[in-house]
Amino acid sequence: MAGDAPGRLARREAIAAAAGSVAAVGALAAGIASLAPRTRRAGRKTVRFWHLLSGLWLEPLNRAVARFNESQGRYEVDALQLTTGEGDSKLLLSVAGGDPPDMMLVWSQITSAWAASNIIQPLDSFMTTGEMARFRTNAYPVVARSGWHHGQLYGITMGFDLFVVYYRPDLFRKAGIDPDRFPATLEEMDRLGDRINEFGSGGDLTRAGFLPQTLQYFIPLFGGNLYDAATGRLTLNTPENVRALTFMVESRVRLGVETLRRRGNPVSTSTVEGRREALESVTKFQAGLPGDDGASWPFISGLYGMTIDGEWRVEQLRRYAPQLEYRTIPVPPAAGGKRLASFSMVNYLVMPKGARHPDGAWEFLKFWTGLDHPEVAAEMYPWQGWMPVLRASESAPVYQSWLNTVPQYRTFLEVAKSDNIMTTPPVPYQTFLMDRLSDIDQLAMRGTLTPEQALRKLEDDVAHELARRKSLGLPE
Amino acid sequence: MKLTLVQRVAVHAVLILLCLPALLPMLWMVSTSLKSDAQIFPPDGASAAATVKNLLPHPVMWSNYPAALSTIPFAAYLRNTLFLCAVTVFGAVLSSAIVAYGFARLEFRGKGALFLLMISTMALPGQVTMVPVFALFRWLGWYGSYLPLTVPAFFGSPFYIFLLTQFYRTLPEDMAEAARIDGASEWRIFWNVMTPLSKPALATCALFQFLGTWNDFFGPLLYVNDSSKYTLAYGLQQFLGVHGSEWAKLMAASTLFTLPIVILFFCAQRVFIQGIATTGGKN
Amino acid sequence: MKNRWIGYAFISPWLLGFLIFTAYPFVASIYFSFTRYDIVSAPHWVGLANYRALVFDDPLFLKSLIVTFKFALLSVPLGLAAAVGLALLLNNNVRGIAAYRTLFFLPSIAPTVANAMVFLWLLNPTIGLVNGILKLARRDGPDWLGDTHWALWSLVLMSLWGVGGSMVICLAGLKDIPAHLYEAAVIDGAGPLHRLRHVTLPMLSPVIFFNLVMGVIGAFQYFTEAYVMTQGGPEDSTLFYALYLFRRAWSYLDMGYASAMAWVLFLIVMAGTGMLFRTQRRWVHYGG
Repeated sequence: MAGDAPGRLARREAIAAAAGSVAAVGALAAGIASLAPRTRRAGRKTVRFWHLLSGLWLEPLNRAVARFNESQGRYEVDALQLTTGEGDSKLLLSVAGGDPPDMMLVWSQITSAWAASNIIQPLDSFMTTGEMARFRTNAYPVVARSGWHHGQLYGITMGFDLFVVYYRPDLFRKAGIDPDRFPATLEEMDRLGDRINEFGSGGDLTRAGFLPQTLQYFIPLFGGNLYDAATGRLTLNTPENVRALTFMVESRVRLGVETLRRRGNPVSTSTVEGRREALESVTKFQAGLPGDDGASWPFISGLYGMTIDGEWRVEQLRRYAPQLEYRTIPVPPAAGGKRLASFSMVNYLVMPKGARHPDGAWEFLKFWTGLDHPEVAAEMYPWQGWMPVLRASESAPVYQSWLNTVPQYRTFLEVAKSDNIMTTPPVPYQTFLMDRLSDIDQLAMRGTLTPEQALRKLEDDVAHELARRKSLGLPE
Repeated sequence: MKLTLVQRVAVHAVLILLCLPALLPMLWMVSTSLKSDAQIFPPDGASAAATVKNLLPHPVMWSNYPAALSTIPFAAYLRNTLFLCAVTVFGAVLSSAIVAYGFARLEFRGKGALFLLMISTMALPGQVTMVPVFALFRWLGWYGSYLPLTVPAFFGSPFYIFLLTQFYRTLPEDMAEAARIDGASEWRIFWNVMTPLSKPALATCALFQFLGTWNDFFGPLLYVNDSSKYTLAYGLQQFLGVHGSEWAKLMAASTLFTLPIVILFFCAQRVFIQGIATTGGKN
Repeated sequence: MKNRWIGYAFISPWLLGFLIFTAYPFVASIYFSFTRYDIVSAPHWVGLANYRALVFDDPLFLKSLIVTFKFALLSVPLGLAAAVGLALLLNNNVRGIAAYRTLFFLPSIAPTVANAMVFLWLLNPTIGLVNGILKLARRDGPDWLGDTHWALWSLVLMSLWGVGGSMVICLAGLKDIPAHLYEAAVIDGAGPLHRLRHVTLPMLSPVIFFNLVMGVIGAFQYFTEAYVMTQGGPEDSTLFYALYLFRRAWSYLDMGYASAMAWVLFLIVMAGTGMLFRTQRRWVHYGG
């Protein structure tokens, strides 16, 4: 280092610095040049569509988009896949920044919040009276009443979830139960689960006949609800909801007690500690399952004998376990509860405020959902394994022939026609509410709180937040 | 420092023992990438257990790799990622070194306060500045391009500035003093004296910046709406799904994603680790 | 001789960048903390309402702060010790040392998804490796990530896997220690432990200080793993401050409140960092 002549060193370094600067400037120029958007076909308006579908659902979406683009010559839908955690941020920022997409598919239950904050715009103004009439009469009841906010329709359903019982006839027969005579009440089904439980050596639970989870799946079965549409008020701490939560906890306690008894560690259900230990053993069993999505669904490997789950499992079962014998049936109501009841997670197509090509977006929406041509859309729904928006799509021959290949799916469509479907309350603070609900769900499932305490806590937490929102002037 | 045979064996033993847990994430990743779906999710749940046998893929599905490569526009993502990495590494290291020299070696009024101010900019969670930052870039007209991702790199990054300041302050002053007496300008001292001496630190910053840009998928996602301009990190996300991920392909893509950095680090070790201890800095 | 402006000239890139890119967002977020703001509509002044609600009315604020403190208190010293220890171990010339260094650096470069999946699998109470080993020793391992007593510590353990970065920085720092200092110590009859305490560590102290400060700043903003693996559970035992902040800002559209949270955190972190800077005089040795 000390031996180098400073002049030569400086020149070498200077050349390097100059070359680097030129490279950097060139790179920057290329970066600026990338400002120009990519257009695919000339003469078409680009409709920007952002969505969160990934993994196995990405390809069917791209096929549907390609179909739409080929079917007409005015618009070109450019679908952009966003990642789940950040997609919402990107949308919010783009709306705030004045450059939103034309359409977005959202599945967080935030439509009411976004409508209240003016992030999305009403869609009913795009509908002709005929289209609106058909929507109201021909769409499934839960679809027709979802997406409304203060009398306007802000989101149209695209892919809504329903939950029914999946059960394994082979495991039924193994336990000496006739799979053709399914219990008529939830309580009987729960008792049936006891007979299907299996324990390994050492008393470890190796098969859970029926393991209740997720409170919102059970509330409608008991005739409860989180929200009363007639009065517009929340109904959180009601006797029906308490009964639903109690049922879930008691079922798990029973399973835990049996597990611990077989392990040689009996506990008493009359003490809080005993109950908590029993519940903990069940939670541990659940946490120890190899996974939950796709092929690792415990139902496939027989870790669950019966379970309540959603319609997307049907296509996955066909893909990952085509030889598996399984049946679906609507969840039997609790004693005194409601028939064909279920919870529904609704995914919405929404149009942000300030969309540049709302007409193109609307055309795509009609095409994909089948609002204008149900029989055309009926071909695309099976690609995703989703339920359609209109009943006319269900009756289309192409959809029926798909149903014939997955007859278990018909159960979902049967439930879809029911009026006893509960959805996320359409309030601006819905995310907060559902987060708190799953918090107290957990607290009850772990025995930290009793069902009564848990629901009272939910009520208190939400009231607290509401008071704060009111004092700040946030929308109610 | 020369070690005896016993010392060397001991060192090897400890290193092997310690690096086994460190290896685990990579091992699992590579092993899963070569498995078939049937082995990742065995129909009988219990055999997904953590045994050595389970770590070995059978059959070995080499086809997962070409499948992963063909699912996403790998070449385009790679090109974009390399471009962004090159620009940000160059900008960040150069600008941070210059600023660090100022903080480390020069005196000026308010230096301490400015330094603390710089550190403090790292203490605020970025979530709450995202909106005004986004608005700022919109106002500048940079939304929809790579500019929000590349230009700020040229203005120094507090992390590297802090790191380089610490390094510069440990270097001996005498060479700089001698050059100053000879009449060399500060810039000359910085460029000709400081920079060669601090190669390991500069290389470390370059590595970190490369890693940071390589792994960043949110930046491009946020500011660019054209998916052909996204990066490899974004491509990885495409295999993840809320209701069904493609694990084998995801792990194959992740392995390919990690490989270049491993090779880079391994080969560039001499640059990192060589220091003035071997160049006879102070005699 | 002491040309003041040259100092400013050297730091001008950062100064300019700060004024252009950072100052406005910082000031804006302070302003937001005094407003109700849902990101899309214009902010509406509410004075100290957010701060008052935060400090007096939000049990999750305190809970998440405690969780974060606990995490920082354990993970920062552990991480620092591990980084320095590993760097010392790897600072030799045995054959294949380059391979070892790469191996230890690997976990820092594996994508977060892969790391998260590995740990979920490792810590699985039934089929995981950790409980499998414990079973060999006839002990029943807990549900690591699902037990309110263990979840946070599991995340602390997981954070150790990321020491590769700090380790590399320490390695670079170790190599910068002039050989003649060691030679002088050996001549003076100093043993290896003495050399460590009186030559290595003091000369490494600027780098250790860097890792300490950055460790503290990073620990208080810890977020990703909790978001991916535990979502704040079980029972809020891993509800980190940054995670709660993220929820408030983006899920509940309560950006004003989140901004107040951010500035409270800022004050806490800067108080801690300021204290660390004060202690510099006592133990950080800047040579040269």
